[in-house]
Amino acid sequence: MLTYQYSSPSTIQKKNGQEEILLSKYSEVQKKDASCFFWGKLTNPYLTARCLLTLSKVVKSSFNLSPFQMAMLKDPIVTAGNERIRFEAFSHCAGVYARVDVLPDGHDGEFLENGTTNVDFNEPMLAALGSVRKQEKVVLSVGKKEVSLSKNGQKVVERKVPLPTKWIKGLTTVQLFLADSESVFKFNRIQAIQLIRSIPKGKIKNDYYLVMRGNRPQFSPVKTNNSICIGGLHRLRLLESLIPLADSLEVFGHPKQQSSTWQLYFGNVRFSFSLSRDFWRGFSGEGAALESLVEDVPMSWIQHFDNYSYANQTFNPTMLAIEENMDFSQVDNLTGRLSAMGLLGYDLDDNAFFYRRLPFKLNRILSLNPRLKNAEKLITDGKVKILSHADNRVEGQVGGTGVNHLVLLEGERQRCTCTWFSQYQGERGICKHILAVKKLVANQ
Amino acid sequence: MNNNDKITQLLTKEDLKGTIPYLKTLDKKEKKQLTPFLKKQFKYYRDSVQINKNKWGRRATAIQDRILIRLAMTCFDLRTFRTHVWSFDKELMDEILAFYEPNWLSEYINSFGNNDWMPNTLSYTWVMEQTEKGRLVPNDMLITRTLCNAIITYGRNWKDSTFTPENLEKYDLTLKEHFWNFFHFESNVYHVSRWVQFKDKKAKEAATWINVITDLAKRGKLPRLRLLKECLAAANRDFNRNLINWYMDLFLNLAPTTGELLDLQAELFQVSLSPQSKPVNVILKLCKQLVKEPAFNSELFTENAPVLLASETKSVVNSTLMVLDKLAKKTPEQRLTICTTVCDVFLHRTANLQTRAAKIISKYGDAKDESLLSALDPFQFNILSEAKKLLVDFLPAVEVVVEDLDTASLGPVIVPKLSLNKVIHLPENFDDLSFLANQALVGNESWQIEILPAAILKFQHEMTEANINKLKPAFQRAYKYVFGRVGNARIGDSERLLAHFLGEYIQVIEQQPSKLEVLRTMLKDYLRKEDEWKANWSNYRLRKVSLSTWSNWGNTTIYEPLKAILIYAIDLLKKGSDLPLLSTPTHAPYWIDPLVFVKRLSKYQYADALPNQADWQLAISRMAFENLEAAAKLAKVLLKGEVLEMALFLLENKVPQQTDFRYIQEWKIAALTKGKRDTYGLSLFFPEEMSDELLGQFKYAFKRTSRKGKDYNYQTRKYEEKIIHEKEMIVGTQKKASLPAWWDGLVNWIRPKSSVATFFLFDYIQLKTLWGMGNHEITRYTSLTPNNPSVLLGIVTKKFLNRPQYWGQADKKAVRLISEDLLNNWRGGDEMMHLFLCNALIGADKTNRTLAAEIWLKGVTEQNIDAKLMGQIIGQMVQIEFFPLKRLLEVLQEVMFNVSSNHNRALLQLLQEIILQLPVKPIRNTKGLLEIYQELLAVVAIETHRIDLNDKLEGWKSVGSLKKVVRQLMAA
Repeated sequence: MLTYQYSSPSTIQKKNGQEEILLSKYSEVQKKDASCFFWGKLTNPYLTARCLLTLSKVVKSSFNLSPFQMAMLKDPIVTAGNERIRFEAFSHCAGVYARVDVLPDGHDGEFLENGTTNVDFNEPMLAALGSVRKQEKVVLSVGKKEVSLSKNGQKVVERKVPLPTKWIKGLTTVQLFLADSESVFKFNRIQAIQLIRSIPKGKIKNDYYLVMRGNRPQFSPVKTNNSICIGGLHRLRLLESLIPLADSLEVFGHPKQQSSTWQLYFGNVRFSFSLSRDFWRGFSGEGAALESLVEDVPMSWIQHFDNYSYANQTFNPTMLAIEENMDFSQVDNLTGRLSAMGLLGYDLDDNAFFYRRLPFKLNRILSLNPRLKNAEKLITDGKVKILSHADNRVEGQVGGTGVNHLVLLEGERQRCTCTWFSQYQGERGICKHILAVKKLVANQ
Repeated sequence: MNNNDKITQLLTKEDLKGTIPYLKTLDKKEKKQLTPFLKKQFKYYRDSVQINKNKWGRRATAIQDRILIRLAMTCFDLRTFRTHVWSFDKELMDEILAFYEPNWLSEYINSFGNNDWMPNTLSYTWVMEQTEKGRLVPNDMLITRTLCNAIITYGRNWKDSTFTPENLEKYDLTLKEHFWNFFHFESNVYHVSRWVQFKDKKAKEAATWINVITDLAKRGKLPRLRLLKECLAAANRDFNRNLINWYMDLFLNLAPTTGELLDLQAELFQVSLSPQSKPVNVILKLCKQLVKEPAFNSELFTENAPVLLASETKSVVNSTLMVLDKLAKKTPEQRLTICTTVCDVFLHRTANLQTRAAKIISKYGDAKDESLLSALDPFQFNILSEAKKLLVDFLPAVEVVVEDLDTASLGPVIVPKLSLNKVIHLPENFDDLSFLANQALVGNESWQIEILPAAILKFQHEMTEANINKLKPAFQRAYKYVFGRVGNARIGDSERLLAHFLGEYIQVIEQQPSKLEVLRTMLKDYLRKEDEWKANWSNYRLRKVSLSTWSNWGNTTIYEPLKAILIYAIDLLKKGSDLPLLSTPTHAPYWIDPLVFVKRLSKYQYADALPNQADWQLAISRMAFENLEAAAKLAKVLLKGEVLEMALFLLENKVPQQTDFRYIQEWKIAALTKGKRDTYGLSLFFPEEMSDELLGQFKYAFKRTSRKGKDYNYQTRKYEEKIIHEKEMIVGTQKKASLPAWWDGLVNWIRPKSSVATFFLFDYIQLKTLWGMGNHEITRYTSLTPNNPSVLLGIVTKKFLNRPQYWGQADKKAVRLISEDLLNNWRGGDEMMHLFLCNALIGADKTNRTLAAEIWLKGVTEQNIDAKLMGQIIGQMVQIEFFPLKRLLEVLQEVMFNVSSNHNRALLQLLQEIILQLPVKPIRNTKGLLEIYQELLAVVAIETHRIDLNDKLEGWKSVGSLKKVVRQLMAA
């Protein structure tokens, strides 16, 4: 359970002939006592407002069978810095990730501080967002510029929200899917509208594929070469009201068809929308980060990175490796680990990670990855045996429920006799048994 | 007497009066100490006991229960209270609150606001009373939901409720603050009196919130403008459809004046983002009236128009166009923006919408304006012929030509059955086998269940203790299936059957010298649990590890061939034989390379052994007719006698010298496998009609039928007899039963299920149900006769697809899986395959329709689909309106139309055949079909309208809605 403590609710007010959107902020882990991250005019207020409204729709949505708590709106996270403002959020089920990027040309303002924070999204504010017009002058403020409004440090708005671990875990995992994704299709506005209108009605249980037929993109239940697999296609309907306003749409596919990302371009504002493999599977349970967590990375490196990075700064692992005199082979692990700790986001257009520290306590974030914890428990309980270790081949035996599982690591290939691995063949991350063997071998 | 004794006394003596005086004497510490004892009392008194011979119930009497609740409320913390008390008794609550206020009261009462269920007795008045007394801090949801019911006072008797709108004026806060929650939180304000029976019958009509609010607004108790604003804002929230529509009903009921509407324009246009179509339609209707007003904000409307024009609801697009038309007339300076915006309409493939948009552009657009021309340009491909005529000045003279499609964009490329990338490899070592065993049980690939027995045969001599331990996870999982401990949609009956095979195999291992105690213990554990279940539940059916007696739910015989082969594999394992299974596929998903088939068969001849009939027949049935020459050559070297003759009949189509066959059943299978390619065997072994039906070539007809049925009349509350008219597809010969159904049942029961001596594969290809199938089950059914997919299609069509609607989800899934299989293997098909395709194309599931359309696209590209035949089949269906034509129109427009010139020509042929058979009295959506036909004629310039259709069209000349399109077609 997380309690958001805002000094005041987010509002839109008319001041001196212009609308001012004040986004009230709160962070559990704010490094500096910054009252305001950003203050300035939006170049394209109408489109930014529409993107934020769609973002709020994503947060309110839920596509699996978990209890739906509409009233418990989880607030988006904003990262301001490096001339960019990014709003990130997840659906309740952690299967849809959305981000609004206001790019350097998308605003004319100053970054008083840089950082990441939760921002209050309340119903009246969202209703007011809907009324923002194209020609209007709108000022955005992430945090209050005038500190004096907060009375004696008293918190005016308190909202208790059950923040499921899967929500945070999704935020720490989705970057790895994005980093693996590649651009497959680019559509103009008309193609995009056509495409979104062709989504079949109702809840779609089987997979659909995005295919090109001549000049026309289409959703088809048939897999073809170069098609992108989309599970739970109906989730794309969240974009229905936004697509008619976009200039273009770019679709990124995951090489193992485990996610798809839909990026809408509105000039200097960008809306990214990522779907997990299936509507009943969130990004949270996929175990994408597990491999990189096998080998420990010294905390000092992470600390160094955290201390000297600023929000939205592009993460250059090679530079960090040189500065910290790290082994290059550990750079990939470091990226995975930093991402799993909520310190990195991923920008598909820049093709690079960027720094942003999730505004949650680190112990909240590190309490995730149950599979890793289970693997560690297997080692602690002495249930992992290495039967043979020669050249590129490791044969291990890991105690399961009533049976011992055979684990074989042969170069890149890794196999286990447990049901999880038999069923998914590593597509949803490695199982705890393989993880345990790898961890034991790495620490030997 | 200590507290425990006192409580025992209160409960045993049912001393309700004494409870409160006693509770008053307890301090905080004593209350806490009493908690464990009270929990025990709850458990004891809430236990179910036999009250008399026929009645079971709680041990506690009503009075004892009340005493317990009083005690719980005073002594328990909230968590414990909630686990013990589920009801809400207002009177009891009042009694306690008179002397004690638990610190969790607010949290407890507020929780009802967030629950699905809220007690009727928890009224708004009570909440307000407690709030005024300072006991309760209500949250918004509680206020909203209790206030919802405030206009009704429930009587003691459920029919005695009264309408009490005056309750709203008791407290100042009610109308000032609480009332407005209705617009911010979801509630059932829209149907609060739906199930309520009033003492005064007339009150039912009056007791709606819309009436109450309208009245309050009239009396000036609620500010009108705020009400109107809130209604519009709420229409955009993510509430349920009924509630959102209610806000609009309220808005209209408040009858906003033109002046008010003009003041509210910004809010009004925001409704265009509503998730529901009704609010959008309502505001567009109002806009149509407002547009003529000088104060109408035309810029704001045009700004919002793109979202409205992208709507899937045609009426929304139509109304928006009407408003834009008027706006363009009124504001010349906006004409260019309006014309550019209107271009989006050409994304809709609806003729009248496009025509309306084209009229606006042609009327107000400037044909020389570059920005308008470039806005229109990308839509050229989508503009229908009538709109095109209107836009002739705006479009380039060059005709857009539909390019032919790249076949790679049309589903999987069909590769030879025996392609290298489809080779199925047997495990190379024991480790591979142990991973395969687990994968086969979770159903990763359809063929793994058949590879596993072959792989076990391969490694049967390596079953050392260490190796068996590697298989233990698979054995454990097999036991879990056998003993019903796993429920998973991926797992079908084939996996369960395989689990029984593994279970039997464990018994084979145990009989060998290297006995493994661990496996035995595992089985014992499961058997012990079975016994426990049986002891607790007298009608529990014990499960057994027995392969021979296994049958699936519904006793479908289709699993018998696989079962017979698994039993045979166990026999081979028992004997330690190295003979291979003949039917194990060599290429995914179910094909056997004839070369391998010959080699396997030769091992039997070499060992002088007779193959198992099921195994042999299935192997013949699965033979891929590729590499035939090399296989025949090898057969002549390795095989001899009748087996060689049969192999050559299959591989070279060589007619045997003699007809005195020893392996008659296998010869029959060989003849059926060759199917229509065979000119010898079929006529020799079967009468013509029989071979047709065995190969799934049933005769079919579409008929209207009627039967007597009963319908429930809600007004009279009685079932009434009525004639139910149905449409049906009759497939195959309908035999009249000469003997009662139970006789067939008895014969089936007595008949041996898989008698090896008389095994004939086709006897077992029967389906009773499609329920509970795993993902691969359809592929496995097809794998029984892969050379003749119609065998399965015929059965499925006959039994499960003979109505316009699917019987259930299982049928829908089966059609999807079969269609996917067909798509992967479509090399042209017979009439039954076309019938199945047509059935899927018009079926009640969009995914299946699209899949069938994809097969069509592919078939047309590869020129192996018969468009005329499909047109004739669908034509027969439309004759009796077997399905709503709308289904076909959707798929025609969205998937099949304008894909390439070849596709358009084939589609034209299909439509002509359908139109020929349309009934004289036009059915619904005939116009839509004719419009598509007309559009196709325009696109496929080289084809012309078929004159023989004119007789049909002639009859529709006088039909109002068809007049125009018929006239244009006949003139074409």
